[in-house]
Amino acid sequence: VLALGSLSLAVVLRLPWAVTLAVLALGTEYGASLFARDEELDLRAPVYAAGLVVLAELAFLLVETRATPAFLTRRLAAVAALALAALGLGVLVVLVAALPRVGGVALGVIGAAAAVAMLALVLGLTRRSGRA
Amino acid sequence: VTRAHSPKLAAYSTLAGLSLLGALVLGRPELVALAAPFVLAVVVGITLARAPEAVLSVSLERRRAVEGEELELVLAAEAGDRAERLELLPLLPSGLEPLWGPGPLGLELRPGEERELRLPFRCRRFGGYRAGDLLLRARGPLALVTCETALDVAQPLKVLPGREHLRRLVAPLETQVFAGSRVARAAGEGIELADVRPYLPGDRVRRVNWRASARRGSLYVSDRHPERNTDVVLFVDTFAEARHAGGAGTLDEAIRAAVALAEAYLAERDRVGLVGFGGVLRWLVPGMGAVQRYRIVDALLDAEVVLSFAWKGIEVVPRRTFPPKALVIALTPLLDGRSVNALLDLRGRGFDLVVVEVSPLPFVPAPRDEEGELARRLWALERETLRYRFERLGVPVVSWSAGTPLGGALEGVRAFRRGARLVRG
Repeated sequence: VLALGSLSLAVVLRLPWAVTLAVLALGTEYGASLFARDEELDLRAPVYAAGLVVLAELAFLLVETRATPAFLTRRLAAVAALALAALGLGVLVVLVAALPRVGGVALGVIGAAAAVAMLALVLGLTRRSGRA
Repeated sequence: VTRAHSPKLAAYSTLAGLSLLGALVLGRPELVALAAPFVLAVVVGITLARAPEAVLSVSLERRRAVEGEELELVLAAEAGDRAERLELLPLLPSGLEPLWGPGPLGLELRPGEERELRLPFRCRRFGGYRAGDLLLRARGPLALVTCETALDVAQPLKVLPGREHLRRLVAPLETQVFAGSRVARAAGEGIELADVRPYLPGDRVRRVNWRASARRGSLYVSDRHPERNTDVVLFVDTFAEARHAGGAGTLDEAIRAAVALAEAYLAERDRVGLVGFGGVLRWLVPGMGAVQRYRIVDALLDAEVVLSFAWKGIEVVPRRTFPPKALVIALTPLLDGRSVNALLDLRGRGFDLVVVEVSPLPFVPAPRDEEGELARRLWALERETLRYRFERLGVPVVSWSAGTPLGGALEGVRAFRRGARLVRG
């Protein structure tokens, strides 16, 4: 409901932060649904991820730019390519996850480092925008 | 070039980071799959963002325009070796009003393509401007990163005040020695008949009035008034003004009136000079012709109120600026004692002075209570007394405000002069 409301607000009032809120709400909702599930691997995750990124792209496209038809065509093609690549990447991740577990401390550290690096990127960008 | 990230980049990075952390905490690989497309989008968006290569230039349809006129800003863009989608934000000063709608303009260019955009704008207020500075923005793929460049390509533009056509001007009491369009008081060679008098030795035969001579039985000659020009000095008071916040003021109106008067007198082949009397003193020695017209307009466009507490009298103005027998037309709101004293001093020195009071009353807010009403009445009485001081010295003071014809105010000057008598004592 929150995601739907934010998305409607974003489209009507052209508010980019409302799109951000909607995307985060949908992501959180998916994470919560996984928490409630049993241990079984959700094979629909790549489709959900690709759908979410397409939704976000289209919403931002609607909110941020006054697009001409040529630009719209190019941008939609780029979004389609991104969705396909996302689907492929997601399937790859799910396939790797479906393999017998070979994890250990090293893999855990790499995963944690990737997550921290992504958060550091967010913080860096936020600081840069604060200075601008 | 300034690189900035869009809100989308922050949203994608946050979602990806939180998903990866969630995957670690909950031990669910599906969240990694959820983060993957957003990580991919961020990486592609950041690495492929480039500064625009397009070359842009700006020109104006004309370098001079009149207030209220519409002009076009011409933007010429040429793409580099790759296709560009640019966002252009032309920056106009506050006196110029864009007519191309809000927000930046989108421009798509194929490699090597040249394009011209014509952007209309309205000249809302007179002044000297630099129009056409540009903010050029190019978004990277997926619009995650924006490269922005400020281009200093502005062109100078002079917007002249909208002028009123004056049919009749205030005639000076005295004329100068050069030929012009005004009938001089003195007798000489001219067209207008001045007098018929008996012939005196030395009178030219062509001046003999044969009809009067035949009637009277002896020779009579016609005296005529010669056509001469005059010197007019426009005295613009820039010590103080009344102004609406962010809007028009008495100085704007004074400048409009000064431009109208200067053009009208110059068209009559009079010599016109200018004195901007205020915190900054400006002057132009009287001259005639189109060049003088441009000089006066340029000087008026630069006129502004500069706060100053220095006491200035008319003696600071170079003497050549006020030629003998010049007609001085003062455009003043009569708000500053220094200007009032300078004008009284000019009158004391024998100049033919006319005061056009650019009324500050429309710019004064309405009184809110009884005390305010009383204060306003006292102020109006003080101003009335001031006007009476001028009128006692034979100086016509006419009140003029924006929206009323200046010609009507000048008619008031002529009416005053018809019945004016100098009061002594």
